[in-house]
Amino acid sequence: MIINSNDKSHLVLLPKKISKDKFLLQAKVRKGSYFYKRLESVYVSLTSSTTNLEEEYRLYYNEYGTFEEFLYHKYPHLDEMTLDLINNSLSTKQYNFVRGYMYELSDYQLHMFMEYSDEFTEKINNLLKAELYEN
Amino acid sequence: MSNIVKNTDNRWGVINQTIIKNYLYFKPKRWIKKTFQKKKYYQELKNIFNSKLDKKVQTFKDNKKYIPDIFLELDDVKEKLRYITQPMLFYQKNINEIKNIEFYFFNEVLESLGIAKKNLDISIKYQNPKAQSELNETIEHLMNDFLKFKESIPNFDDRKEMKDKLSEEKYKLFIKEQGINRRFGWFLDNFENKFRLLQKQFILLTEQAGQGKTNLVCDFVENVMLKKNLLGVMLAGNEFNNLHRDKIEDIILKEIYGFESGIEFNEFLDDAEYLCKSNNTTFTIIIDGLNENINIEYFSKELYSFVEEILKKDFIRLIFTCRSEYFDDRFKNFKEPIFLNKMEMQESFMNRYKKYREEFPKHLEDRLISSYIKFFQIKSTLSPNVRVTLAKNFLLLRMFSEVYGTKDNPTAPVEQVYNIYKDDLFKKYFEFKHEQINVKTKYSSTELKKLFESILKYMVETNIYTNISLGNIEDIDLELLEHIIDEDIFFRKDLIKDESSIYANSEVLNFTFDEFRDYLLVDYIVNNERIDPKIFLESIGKNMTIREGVERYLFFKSRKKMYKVKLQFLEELDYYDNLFLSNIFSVNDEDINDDDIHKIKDLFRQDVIFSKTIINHLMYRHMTRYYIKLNIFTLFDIILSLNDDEYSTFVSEKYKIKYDYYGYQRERKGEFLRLLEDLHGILETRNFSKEYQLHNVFEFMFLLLGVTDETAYGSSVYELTELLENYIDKYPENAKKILLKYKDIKIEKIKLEIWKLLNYYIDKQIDFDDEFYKETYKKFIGLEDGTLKNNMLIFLEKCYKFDSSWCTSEEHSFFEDLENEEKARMQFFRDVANGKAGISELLEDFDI
Repeated sequence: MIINSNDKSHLVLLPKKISKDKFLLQAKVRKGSYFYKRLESVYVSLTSSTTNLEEEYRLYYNEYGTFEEFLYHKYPHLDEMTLDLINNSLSTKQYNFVRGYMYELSDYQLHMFMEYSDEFTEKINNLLKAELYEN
Repeated sequence: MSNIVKNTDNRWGVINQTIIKNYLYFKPKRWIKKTFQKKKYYQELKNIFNSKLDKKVQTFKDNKKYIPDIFLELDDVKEKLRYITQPMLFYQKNINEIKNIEFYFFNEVLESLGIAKKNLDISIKYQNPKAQSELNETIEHLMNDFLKFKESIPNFDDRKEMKDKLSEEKYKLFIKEQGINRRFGWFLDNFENKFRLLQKQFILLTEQAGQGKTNLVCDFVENVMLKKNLLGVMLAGNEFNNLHRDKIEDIILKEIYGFESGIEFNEFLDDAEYLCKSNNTTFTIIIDGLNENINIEYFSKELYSFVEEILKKDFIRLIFTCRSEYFDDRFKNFKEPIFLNKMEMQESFMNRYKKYREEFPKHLEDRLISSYIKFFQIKSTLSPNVRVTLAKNFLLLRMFSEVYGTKDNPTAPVEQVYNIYKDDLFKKYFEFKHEQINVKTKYSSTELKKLFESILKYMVETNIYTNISLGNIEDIDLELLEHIIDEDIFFRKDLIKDESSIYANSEVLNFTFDEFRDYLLVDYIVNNERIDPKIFLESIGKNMTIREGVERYLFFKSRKKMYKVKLQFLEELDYYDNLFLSNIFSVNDEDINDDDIHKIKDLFRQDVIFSKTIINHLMYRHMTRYYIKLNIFTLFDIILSLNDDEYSTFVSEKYKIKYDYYGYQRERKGEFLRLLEDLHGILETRNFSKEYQLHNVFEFMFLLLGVTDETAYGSSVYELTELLENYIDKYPENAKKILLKYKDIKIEKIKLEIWKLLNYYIDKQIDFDDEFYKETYKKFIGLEDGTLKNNMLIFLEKCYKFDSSWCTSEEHSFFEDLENEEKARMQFFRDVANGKAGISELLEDFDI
């Protein structure tokens, strides 16, 4: 699930077992079609050049007693409900929580597309559910 | 080890008598320990550094200059402090991140244009610098690689050249992605800035007064340095007040080792260096509030030469904070210093934070309030509106916390707080401070009282309320004033342009919280026999910075019996009605009298602006156990006294629903819709048996049944009807009481809607008494034909079918006739349906 994205960076909960092929398969889009390419670029922009936040906490911000505390203080714009969602998802061990540069490293069209279409974002979020990739 | 001792030219090379004495006693003892118990010696030293830092943070907490958890990491300032103090760690962090970056999209475009892909390869030798001393050079090499990479990106700026080079198709793509080469560069610039920051040894943070400089550094020390065992020492600017007597180095040594330790500064530096180099870490000297020093000019010169010298030690880090205007005026030597390349200047570091605060999210407001509650140990329960008021005003929050916190105030009230009465809060706060000064300082409350009186007297006599030159006030205890400025939030010093010189600025005094000043001024005036408040108010003239506040607090005082007569003149002011309505709802309910309530009722009918204000305040006073005199019931009384026209002008106008047009779209709009949505939530989630007084809010909603929905041809608002139907379903007993209470209301539109809801109610249950049926029947008979009569008839018919025992023979025959008519009508329709009758009879009444 995309937790947050702005011009500079993004935060996303990624299923551990996801891969580009599996993602595109779940999306049920025809190979080579416009939406196939679009979703492919979404996947790449969400997953490449990312940093795993749990690892980042462990290596550089272990002044915080727990990962939950790290998120609470280091990402204050996330409200309690969102924090619960992230922590609950991570407790299932099925997700990685990562940050990256979704728009900075991708094309502006994608930015426009994601920014102005809630429906599209919702579809992407539905494709980022861990249960789709467990088996 | 450092050779600083041998260098007699530097600040720490001079050997004096004290040092010689130290060499005879202290030094040999330490030398033995350092040589034969090296590990233990340095471990103990680390413990000393840590415990002193910890103690210092505790002192800031005790003085309430640092309130834990109120610093929010909304911008990158704390991150910058991390970078400066942990360069090796954050170098690694950024190297790992940049290694992982794939320029996938950029390369896709380059490939499409037939240009070779670009990848940033970080040489393995720059990936793991072994020692901090190598870091600077490594970063220089790395930056060189960055530069080469950026230079290798093709220049797309010359369109003509590209047009000649590329095919038409590729040229089209090039035009579309022309800026891509710059995006490559910008992306790398961000990383470059981060690496460059790791080369800095000194960060100077400036901000205006009261923006949280101390909270930031204390938070950093407590939550990063102490948790990660980073070495350092923290001091406040005013700890260097006696620089003519002690050197900066002496004060730092005293802070770490205490008096008479016999340790010289260069020895301390050697030890710190040993520890830092063994652990690849840094030693940080923090000075918070450079401006708090009383000899700033001398301090800034001394500090400059101290910084210049100490930055030669590559393991040293410095974090200084200073108020912006003081920095600009008194620390000019730090603006372009010789050590500029080692320094990060962070001006107005809270800018982003402040911008954020304009629309501070609710969860962060809650966090802030909770942090204050925890720190000050507030045991009272705060209502949501009190939390909102406090979250929007830090100074008020601070005063409230001190008065209600049991941390320092064992007699703090423990109660449900539904409203903040500033007048009462300021009084309690000032009284509390009087007690505290007796207990906690060498000063007495009489001295404190005298100090304030001198300042207030000066203000009243000169008509000057801001930027007060201290030299002008007679009979003032400057030492006490300095103490209060340092320790409390009453006053702050500011710099203003000195009128006698075009260059110089002079230092002046201001109250930190204007409203508190206004409260104190009024208190001083009304309790001073020699001052006539009326003449004083006239003397202020149109100075609005002070007038509004003074009038407000005069008004609050006028509600107290002892000042009532003295302040009667306020009622003669032309704008008294406005003054009254703007402030009466901020008066403690205890001080409200019958005349006030009458006046509110009168004003309601005088002006729509007045009625809106009154509704806004009274509708939220549903806690009638707390607001005993002036509450939502006053609003019910007012509405019940209105006729249809008055209701339409003074009530419906506020809530009516309109279309809001934008572009080709239109949307139903009105504050009422939001309110109804909130109430739906409240009805669903809250437990009314515990919060019984929420029923009062719903009773008010019944009285809004006359509000017009202009988007539905003037009918009542359907969302309201829906809400009240839900309320009837959930709380039928309470709803029934309300329905019966307003069934005969004067306002026709409400009456009609009440009867519609009575019909909704009896669809669920019929539990009225015979008297009510009889009474309704009587009213029904006397009514003229119309919708209300129809609704009453429906009601009576349903009741009659359920139980007819209440009816007299006349009433029986009425309902029997009705039943017969109904049967005949049904038979007619059946006949029409079966083709036995035509519909011409239906048209009998029409003149066609």
